[in-house]
Amino acid sequence: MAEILTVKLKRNGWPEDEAPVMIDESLLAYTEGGFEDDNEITKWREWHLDGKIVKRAAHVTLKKNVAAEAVAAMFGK
Amino acid sequence: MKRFFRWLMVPVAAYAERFLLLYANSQAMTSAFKRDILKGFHNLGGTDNPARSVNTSDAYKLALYLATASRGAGDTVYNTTGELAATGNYVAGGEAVTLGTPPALDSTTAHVTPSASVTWTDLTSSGAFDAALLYNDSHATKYAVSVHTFASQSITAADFTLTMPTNDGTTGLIRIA
Repeated sequence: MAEILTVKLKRNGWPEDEAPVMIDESLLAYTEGGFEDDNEITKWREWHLDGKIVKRAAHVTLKKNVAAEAVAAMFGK
Repeated sequence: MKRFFRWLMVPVAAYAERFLLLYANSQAMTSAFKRDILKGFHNLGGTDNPARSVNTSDAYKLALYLATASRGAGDTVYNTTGELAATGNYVAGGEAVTLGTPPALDSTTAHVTPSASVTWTDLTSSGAFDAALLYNDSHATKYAVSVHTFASQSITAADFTLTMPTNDGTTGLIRIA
C-alpha cells in the first residue's frame, strides 16, 4: 500500500519557493544507493517527480575519526 | 575606461572564485581542544569526575557545514561561518549529542564516542554539506572539539542521520593515543 509522503515542490509562479506538500508515494520514482570507503558508509534514498528530486534522505555512518598523540617529554631533552 | 575595468574584472573574478573553491572542510581534532582539555575546559565523562566539584558532563552539539566552508584543525570555537542556514528545519548550532558512555581506555588509547546517532528530522538543507563540528555547548564560548567530514550531501524534506563509529581505541570518535 502506497504511503503519503511530504515532499518539496515548486509552486507555479513561485519559482524560488519550494513548499512542502503531501503526495502519494506511488506517483514518485524511487531510487536508493550508497557507497563505502575508509571514512564512512553512506546510504541515500531519493524520490523523483518529473525527473526532479523532491525528497532525499541520507544516513552516514562514520568510520575514520580523529586522534591525538599524547607525549610526555623527558627532562633534559 | 569602464570597458577596460570590466575586461580586467573577468579574470580577477574567475581567479577569486577558483581561490575560494580551494577552501574545504578538513577532518581533524582541533588544536585548541588539545590545549583546552589540559586546562580542564571539557568534561565528556558523565558523572565520574571526582577531581571536580561540578560532577556532570558538559553538553555537546554537532553543527553541519556547507561543502564550501573551511572548518578544520584551526577552529577554536563554534563558528557560524559556512554553517547551514537556519531554514528547512535546521536550527542554528545544530543538534545535541548523547554522551552516555564516559571516556575509557582501550589498552593505551583513551577514547570517547557519543552513544547515539544524531538525526536532523525533516530537513531541507540550504546547500550541499560535508562536515560536522563537535563543540562544547555548556560554555558561552562554545569551545570546538573536532571536525568530521563525509561525502557531500543535500537533503530534501527528509531525515539526515549521522551514526557514530564503534567506541573503542581504534575507531572511537575522539581518541588520544
